[in-house]
Amino acid sequence: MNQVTTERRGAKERAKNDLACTPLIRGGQKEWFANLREQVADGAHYVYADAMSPHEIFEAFDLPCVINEWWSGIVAARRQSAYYFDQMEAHGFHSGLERYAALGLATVLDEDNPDPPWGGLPKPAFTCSSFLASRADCVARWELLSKQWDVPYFPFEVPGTGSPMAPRWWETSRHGWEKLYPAYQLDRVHQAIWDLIRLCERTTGRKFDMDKLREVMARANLQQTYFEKIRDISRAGKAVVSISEQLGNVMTIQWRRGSEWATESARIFSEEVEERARNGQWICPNETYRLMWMGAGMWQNTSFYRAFEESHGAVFVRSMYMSIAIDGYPRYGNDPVRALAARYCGIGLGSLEWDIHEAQSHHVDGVVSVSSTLGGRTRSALEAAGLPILALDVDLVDGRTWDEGAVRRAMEGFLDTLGKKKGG
Amino acid sequence: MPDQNVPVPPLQTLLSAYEKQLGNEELATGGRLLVGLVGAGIPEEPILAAGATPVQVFPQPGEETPVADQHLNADESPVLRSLLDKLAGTYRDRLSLAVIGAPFANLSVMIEELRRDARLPGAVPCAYFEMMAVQTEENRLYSRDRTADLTRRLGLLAGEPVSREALASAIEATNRRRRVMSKFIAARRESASLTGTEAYQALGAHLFLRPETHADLLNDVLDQSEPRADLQARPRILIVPSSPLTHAHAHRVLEEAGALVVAEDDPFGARAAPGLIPVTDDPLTAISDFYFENRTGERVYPANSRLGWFQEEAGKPDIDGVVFYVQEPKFGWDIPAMREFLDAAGKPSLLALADARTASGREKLKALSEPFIAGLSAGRAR
Repeated sequence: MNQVTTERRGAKERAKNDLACTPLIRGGQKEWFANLREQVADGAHYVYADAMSPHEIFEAFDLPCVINEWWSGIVAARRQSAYYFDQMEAHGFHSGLERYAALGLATVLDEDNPDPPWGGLPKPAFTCSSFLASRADCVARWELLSKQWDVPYFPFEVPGTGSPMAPRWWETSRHGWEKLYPAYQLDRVHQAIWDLIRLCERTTGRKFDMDKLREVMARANLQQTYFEKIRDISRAGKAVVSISEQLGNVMTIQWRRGSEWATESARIFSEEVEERARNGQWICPNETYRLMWMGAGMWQNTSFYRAFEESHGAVFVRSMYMSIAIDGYPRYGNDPVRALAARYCGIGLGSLEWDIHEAQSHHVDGVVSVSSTLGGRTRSALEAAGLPILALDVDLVDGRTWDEGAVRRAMEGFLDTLGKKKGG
Repeated sequence: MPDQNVPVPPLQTLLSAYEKQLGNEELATGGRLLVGLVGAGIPEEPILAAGATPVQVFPQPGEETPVADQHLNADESPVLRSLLDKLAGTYRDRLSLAVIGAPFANLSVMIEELRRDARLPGAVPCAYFEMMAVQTEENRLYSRDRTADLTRRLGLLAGEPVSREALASAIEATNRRRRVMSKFIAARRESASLTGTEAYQALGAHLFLRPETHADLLNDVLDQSEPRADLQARPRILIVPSSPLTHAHAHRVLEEAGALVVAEDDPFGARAAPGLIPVTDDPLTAISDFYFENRTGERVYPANSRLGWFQEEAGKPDIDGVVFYVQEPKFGWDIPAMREFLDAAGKPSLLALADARTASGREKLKALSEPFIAGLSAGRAR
C-alpha cells in the first residue's frame, strides 16, 4: 500500500464562532457520520447524493444520505482540497474540470490514502444526482464515482423549459407551485421521483409510506420557518450571527432536512439568534458595511467572512444558503411527491430578480463573490441595480488558488470604494 | 473578376456555404422562412415540413457584440455573448424563429428574461427544445411530446398545422442527404481525396443548405474526387472535441502540422448521418425517436451510449492517433477512460487544452500538436 500524506494547504485561519448551538450542531453531524460509518460497516445502506436530489425521499425510507457538496465543504475546510486536486490531475482529469463538486470522486479515487477526511466515505447502496441540461458535465463524473464504488447511479433528470422563473416567484412558490411550472415538466419530474421511490423500495426492501413522507415534508417545511426568523433578524438590523457560522449551521441542518434532528437543530439555532438580537449581541458593534456573499460558499476559508469586521466594520449579512432554504425549498400540498417535484422544477437559484431583492431587503452596501459566480449577466444585473461588486479571483474549494495578500488587497480596495460612496 | 458563366465547382459551393453560413447564396433562393437552430440534436424535419429552412446559428467569438455589450459584462462566455448578439441583432430580421437546444438553456432563459423586462426589443422569437438525456422508455415518450409541441409551434409559424405528408416528405429529403453523407464520410476515410478541413466543412455545409441542395452538391464532390497523393502518407487523426464544433480551426491547425483529419467525434461532422429515419405511418414519432436515440455529447447517459461511437471508430486500424481538443475545459470527465482505451489499443493520443477560435489558442494548439504529429509521422515511416 502506498503511504501518502494528505497534505494541508491553503488559508490558515479558522473562523471564529459565537453561538452555543454551533458546536452542538456540528458535533451532532460529526457523530452522525461516525455512526453512519459504523452502521455501513455492519451492513446498513446509505445513499451518496448531490445537493439537488430529493433527500426527503431518502428520509422517508430512513435511508441515510451523505451529500456530495457537504463532503466537498468538509474536505476544503480541512485544507485538503489542494492535495486532492493534485491527485485528480495525476489521474488524468485536467484542471479546467469542475472542482467544487468533485472532491467526493477525488477522495474515492485516492483509495490508498490511510488518512482520508473523517475516515473517508464508505461505499453507498447507490448514488443519486440531479441532472439538468445546464449541468451536463456532471453526468460522466457521477458515473465515474459510481463505477469506482461499483454501485448503481440514479440520474435524477429534470427537464428544462428554457424559461426564467416567474416574477416574484418566492411569494407564491410555497403553495402556488402548480402554476409556476408547465405541467409537462412537473409531470415528468413527478414521475422521476416515483422512479427513485421504487429504487429505494428495492434497496431497503420496504414499501413506500406516503404518510411518512408527509411527516418528513412537514418537518422540512417547519425547519425553513425557523430559518426565516433568523433572516428576518438579519434584514432588520445589525448582524447577530456571522455568515461563516450561519453557512455551516444552515448547511449541516439542510442536508438532513426532514429529520427530527434537523428540525430541532433549526429551532435551537433560531432561538439563540433571537435571544442575541433581543440582547443586542452584535457580532460587529461598529458595523459599517453590510455585504452580501453571492453563490456557493468560500468553503476553503470561511474565516474570510470575518476578516474585515474589526478592521473595517465590514460584515457579511447574507448568503444564498439560508435564503434559498427559506424561499426555494418549502412546498406545501396534499400530494407530497408532487410538491417535492415542484421544488426541483425550479428552486430559484440563478434568479437575478431574487438575488437583487435579497440584496435590497438585507440593505447591503455591496456584493462579493468569486469570479466564476459573477458571470456577465449577473454582474451586469447587479450593477444595473446600483450594487457595487467585488469578484475575487479564487476558487471556492481549491486551496491552491488562495492568495492571502491578493484577497486582502482586493477587499480593502473594495471597502475603500464603498466608503467613498457612503461619503466617508 | 470571376467569369459568371463558369460553374462553381461543387466543393467550392459547399465550402462557401459553410464559410458564409446564413449569408450563402444558395440559401437566398426559394423565399422560404428561415428557422435558426442553436445547438445540435434539434429535429429539422418538422421545420422543413412547415415549409421553412433550418439553419444553424453558430457563435462567432471575437466578432463585435453590440447587443451583448448592453446586457452582459465582458467576462461572460464569448459563445453566449455571440449567440445573444446573433438572435437579438445580426439575424433578427433574417430568422422567423430560433429553436434553442438543451446545452443553451441559459441563453433561452436570459433572452426570455430580458424580453420580459422589455430590454430586448426585436429579438427573434425563440422556442426551447430539450430531449431527455437518460435512455428510458418514459423519456422517449416525453421527448415525443416535446417534438410534437415544437411541430405545433412551427405550424403556427406556417399558418397551418404541419401535415403527416409534409413530415414524410421531409424525412425522404433528409434521408436522401444522410445516405450521401454516409457515403462521403466513408469515402473521406478510405480514399483521402480531400483534406479533413475540406471534408469537415463540406459535411457541415448541410447546416446552411436545403437537404436536396446539399445532397446534390456532396454527390457531385464524390463523383469528382480522386485520391490525393500528397495526403496519403500523412498520419491519420481522429479529433475528439469537448463540445460540438462550430468551426474548422482545429482541423486546419492539425493539418498544417502535417496530419490528415479523417474523422471527428462531432454531430456536425463524421457523426452527422447516424443511419436513416424509418419510413412509417407515424412520421413524427419516427423523427422524435431517431433524434432521441442518436444524441451525442457529454449529456448522454449511460456511458456506453455516450462513448460507443468513439470506441468503435478510434479502435479501427486506419486511425494513427487521437487528439482530444478541449476548447471548453469544463467538459472532459470521460477523457482519462478514453485515453486508457487508446493506450490499451496502442494508439497515441494528445490532450490539447486550447481554444482554436482565438489566435492565441491556435498558436497553443499548434505548439502542442506539432511534436505529437511529428511522432506519428515517424511511426508511419517505420
